[in-house]
Amino acid sequence: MDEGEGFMNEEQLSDSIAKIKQGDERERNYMIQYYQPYILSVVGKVCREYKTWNDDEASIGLIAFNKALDTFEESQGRTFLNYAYLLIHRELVDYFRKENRYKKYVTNKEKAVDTTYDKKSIDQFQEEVRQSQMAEEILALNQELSSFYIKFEELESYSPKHKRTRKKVLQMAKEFITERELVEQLFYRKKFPMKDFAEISGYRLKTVEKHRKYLITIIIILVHPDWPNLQSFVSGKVGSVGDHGK
Amino acid sequence: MENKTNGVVIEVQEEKIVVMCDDGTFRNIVRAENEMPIIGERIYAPKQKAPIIQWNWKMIFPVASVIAICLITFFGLFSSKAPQSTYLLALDINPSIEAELDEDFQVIELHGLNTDGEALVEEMDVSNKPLDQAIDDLIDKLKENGYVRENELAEITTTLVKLTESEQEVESALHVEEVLQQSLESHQVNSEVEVYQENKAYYDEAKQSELSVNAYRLYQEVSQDDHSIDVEEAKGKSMQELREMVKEKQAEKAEESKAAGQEKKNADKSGENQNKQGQQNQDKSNQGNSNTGKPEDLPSQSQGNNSLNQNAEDKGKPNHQPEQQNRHSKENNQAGQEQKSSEKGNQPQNNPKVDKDPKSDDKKSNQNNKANNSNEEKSQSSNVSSGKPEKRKPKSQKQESNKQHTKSEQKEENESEEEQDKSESRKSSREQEDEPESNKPLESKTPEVPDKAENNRPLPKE
Repeated sequence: MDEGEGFMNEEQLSDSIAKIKQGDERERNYMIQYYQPYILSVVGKVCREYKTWNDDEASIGLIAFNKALDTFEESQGRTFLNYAYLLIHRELVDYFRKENRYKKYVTNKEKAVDTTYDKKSIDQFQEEVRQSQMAEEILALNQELSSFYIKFEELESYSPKHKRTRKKVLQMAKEFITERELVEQLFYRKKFPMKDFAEISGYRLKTVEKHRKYLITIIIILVHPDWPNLQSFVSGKVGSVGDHGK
Repeated sequence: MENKTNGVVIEVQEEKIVVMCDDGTFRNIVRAENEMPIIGERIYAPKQKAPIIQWNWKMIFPVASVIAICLITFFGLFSSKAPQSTYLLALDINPSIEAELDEDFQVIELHGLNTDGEALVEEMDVSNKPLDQAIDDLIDKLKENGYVRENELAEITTTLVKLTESEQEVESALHVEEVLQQSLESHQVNSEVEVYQENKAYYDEAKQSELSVNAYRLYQEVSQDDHSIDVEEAKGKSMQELREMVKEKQAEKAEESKAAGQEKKNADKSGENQNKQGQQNQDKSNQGNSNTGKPEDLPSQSQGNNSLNQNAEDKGKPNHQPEQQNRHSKENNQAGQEQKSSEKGNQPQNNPKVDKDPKSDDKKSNQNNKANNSNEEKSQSSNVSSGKPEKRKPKSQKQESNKQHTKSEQKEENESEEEQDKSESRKSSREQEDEPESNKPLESKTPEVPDKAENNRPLPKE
């Protein structure tokens, strides 16, 4: 599996996990680093409080994630992320029990957790899967963007506020990916090829400048057909992102 | 659902949540304390108006610089307009003052060039006043402080320096003369006013030697040949003193040249005499004119003040002595107007004379031309040129060219002309002082012009 690419499909994921079970420490470290944002957000959710890596709970979550890496089985019928969520939750609850704090955390979440042991309804299952997939895509996108030095939080300022502009930017992105040269330049240099793009497409650079990071994000999504949820976001399908997860 | 304010959580931070919305945008929304979505969760993400500006340290620099610029501009508006100063008007009475004017002759700023001048300027506020008003104020101040008294002759020399290239030189200087004269008249001040016009180069030279332009001009005349006085000395002298010195010098030269002239030109004597007379006539009529060298067009700028000579040309004083008579551009303001008319009458008289003396006429005619050009209207202005367009023209042209050239160039071109010109201009200023007598005969020509008397008047100089 290529480092630097997300775990887009289950195959890649299972490969990695297999390696880890066999003792590939590098792979383990990579996975941990890759899933960090997710781990932290789960910890926060479980604790009903924002947690940072300095907090004990975060370490607990990390331990739980490690366990998940060791014990995940596809045949169990859930997604890896979902499984990881479960384990983190379990660990934290145990931790709270020890600390005598578990009451407030347990009440709400345990229900959800418990369902995993019961027969799940198909809908529930599908929902879990969808959410996992969404999360996976997001993590992958995050990984990709980091090599361009783009942070998610920056994207708001680069987003076109008006529908018309959005359409235009989408148009630009679509044209962009038709030009192999441009795509190569973008991915090799990690910089948007302004001049060349202007020449080839004839678009004014002003729009590009204004929405540069957003444009790059769109382009990245477009070149990843293995991110269906994100693709529907880009294409602006009626309905909502993630609702129709493929 | 058009609004589409729902989306998927893609990042969770302490203060905010980043949401990828259904409408294709990314939004950062404020995270509430208990809000803890996980990545991939759907969430309601309304557009948030509140923090339009997200304050963070990164904003310090641009914000600070914008504020700084605003402050500077704001204060800048008050402190100075800094409009283009198109003209500099140097006024020397005794206080030496320089006024910066814009193209519409509005006063931008006043500077005092000597102690008296500075004191005077401090008492005045003429920002953005039109020139006439400023001059009025100035004369008021002068009177207040006793630099100028009613019924006492005041000698006022001014130079107008145009800082930019343009075609309007003549009119500008004329305008200044008129304004000055009117103002002086209304204040009932007898005065001899000389108005010169210079280009920036000359002005810069004067600046270098740290003399006011008018003083510089006088200094130039005095030290023309023999440098009998150096710059440092000149700085210490008042305008009065400098004028005296110039007169002396001119007197000397007059003597010398007379002697020389007589020797050389025995044959030409008659011519010379005629010339002289012509010159005188010219001078008288020219009195106002300094050799502005403006061609016939010079409408004899303000009646007495034709000292629109190009000082550059004036440099050649020495030759002018015989012609000194011609040059007095000084005119008594009060008399000026009347003189004009009378002068006109006179001029024709002068003209013939002028014509006669081609030889020395060069100078004279130059003078005359210049003078005439400018004098025509000014009765006093000795612009006889009006009468003699033909002659004048060539000369005036020369003069013009002279004007335009730098001093050095002029020298190369027509030394004689230069000299004439210079002497003319100088003379116009000086001659009035120097040769009351010589002018007198001419003056008599214009009995009708009581104003001519300006020259004749209390002014010994004429």
